[in-house]
Amino acid sequence: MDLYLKILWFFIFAIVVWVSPSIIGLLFLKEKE
Amino acid sequence: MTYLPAIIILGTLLAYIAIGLWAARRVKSANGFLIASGKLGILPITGTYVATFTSAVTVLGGPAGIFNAGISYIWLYITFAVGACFTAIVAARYRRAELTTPADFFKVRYGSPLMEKLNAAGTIIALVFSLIAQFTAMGIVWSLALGRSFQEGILLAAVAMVIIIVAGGLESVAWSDVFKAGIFFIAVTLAGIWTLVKFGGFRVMVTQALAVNPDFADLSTGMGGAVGIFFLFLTWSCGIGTHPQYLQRISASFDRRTGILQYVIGWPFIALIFVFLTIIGIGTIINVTELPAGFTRDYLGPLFIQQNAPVAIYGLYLAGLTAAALSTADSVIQLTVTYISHNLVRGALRPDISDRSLLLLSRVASLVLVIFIALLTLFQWKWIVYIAAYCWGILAILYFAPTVLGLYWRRANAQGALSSVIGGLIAFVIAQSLALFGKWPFAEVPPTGVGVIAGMLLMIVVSISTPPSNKEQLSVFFEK
Repeated sequence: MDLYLKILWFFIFAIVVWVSPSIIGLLFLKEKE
Repeated sequence: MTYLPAIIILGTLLAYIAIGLWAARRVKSANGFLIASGKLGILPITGTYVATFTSAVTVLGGPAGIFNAGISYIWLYITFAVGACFTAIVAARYRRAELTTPADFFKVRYGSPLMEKLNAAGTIIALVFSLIAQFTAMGIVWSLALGRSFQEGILLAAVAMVIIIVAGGLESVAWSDVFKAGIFFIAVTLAGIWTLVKFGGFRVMVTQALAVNPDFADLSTGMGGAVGIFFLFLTWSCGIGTHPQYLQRISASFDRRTGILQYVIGWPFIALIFVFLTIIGIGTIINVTELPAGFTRDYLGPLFIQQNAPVAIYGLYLAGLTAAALSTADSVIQLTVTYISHNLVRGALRPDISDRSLLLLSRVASLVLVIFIALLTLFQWKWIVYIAAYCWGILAILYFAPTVLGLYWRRANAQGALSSVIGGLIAFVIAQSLALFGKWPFAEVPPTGVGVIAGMLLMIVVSISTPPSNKEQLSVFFEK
């Protein structure tokens, strides 16, 4: 695979993980306490 | 122009002190000092979370790490975010109890004052050593920016921190963190965008970095291959997930919703900070071919900005670095004092201490602690750096399994938690001693990782083989 694409996909994967604490938080906010 | 960096750094310090003193007006009791009375709203709690999360070690280490390990270095930031996912999961239940320090969790959930004290003592030791790295970073920022002595930088930062912590404890730390997180975010964002524009975009940057270093695209070797990355997750995700500074911030939040919102609002900002630090790191590969004499790789990021960017961006970057260094250090100092005052003094040595005396004692303890750590940092003993490298792993052993399993697994009990902490620490010490004498056969397995795994297994096995916790302990976290 093109090395640039490989790095780009890895970077995008990382960014998805970097926003996941936000998403998990949102899911817990919806949960009834 | 030569004075500009000094003016910017001193200005940042003064603004930091001013905000800290302003916030200190609210502090009227020991509880206010230790945990901001559990009343911090969304702005201060998110600000202090983001500021604490991004330390000077992250900022200096990021570009240096990309330079050394190529793009594979961002695995480290991935482990950080996974750790924060654990914190968000913990927060959803942890705020159900009113706790002053994370060690209190062991008393409430497991009914064990012994574990509370043991945990507090272990945490104090680990936190003190982790502070040395942060103090060192402050000295580096100062000597790098101004060409003045490392010692002077540490002393200045120590004085600024003493003023605000002594004045207002967590309240002052949290509000000044809002300012620091803001400065830091703006600084890294501007420097990152400027880097992208200078080189003509991400694609051009990656192509040029590959031309300088073809190994740049390797996704794992730089971080120790698959085994290395697995243990990176184990140490950092578990260490961050239940690090006492984040548990403390859950208890300091106004309510459960505020406690969870700090991650929802904070992480898009932290994600952008990681993106831009990565981009600056790629810039250093392209543009810094050799370091001037006397500079270590930790200087790469700031050096790259200094040599290439307009002076205003460089100045802001230095202010951001100062802010990052102060915000993690002052939070950890304040946290250490909460364990000393609440768990050791009020919890064991002097249970009848008055609120007024406890407040005074907390202030004196803050002062003494800052002086002690500044001295440790100034002497720069080799063994300190060595111990400091393991603090996160030790905190992971002390907190991860007992907290996460204690909140989500009814069957988790005191015997399991105690075996987990003691067994985990023993496994760590054995592995670490073998490593010290060159007898540790698994080069890619860090001794702390062994401790974390041993701790988790013991927690599960011992809990299953002994009677469950009583209803009273379970009802706090499970029946709502």
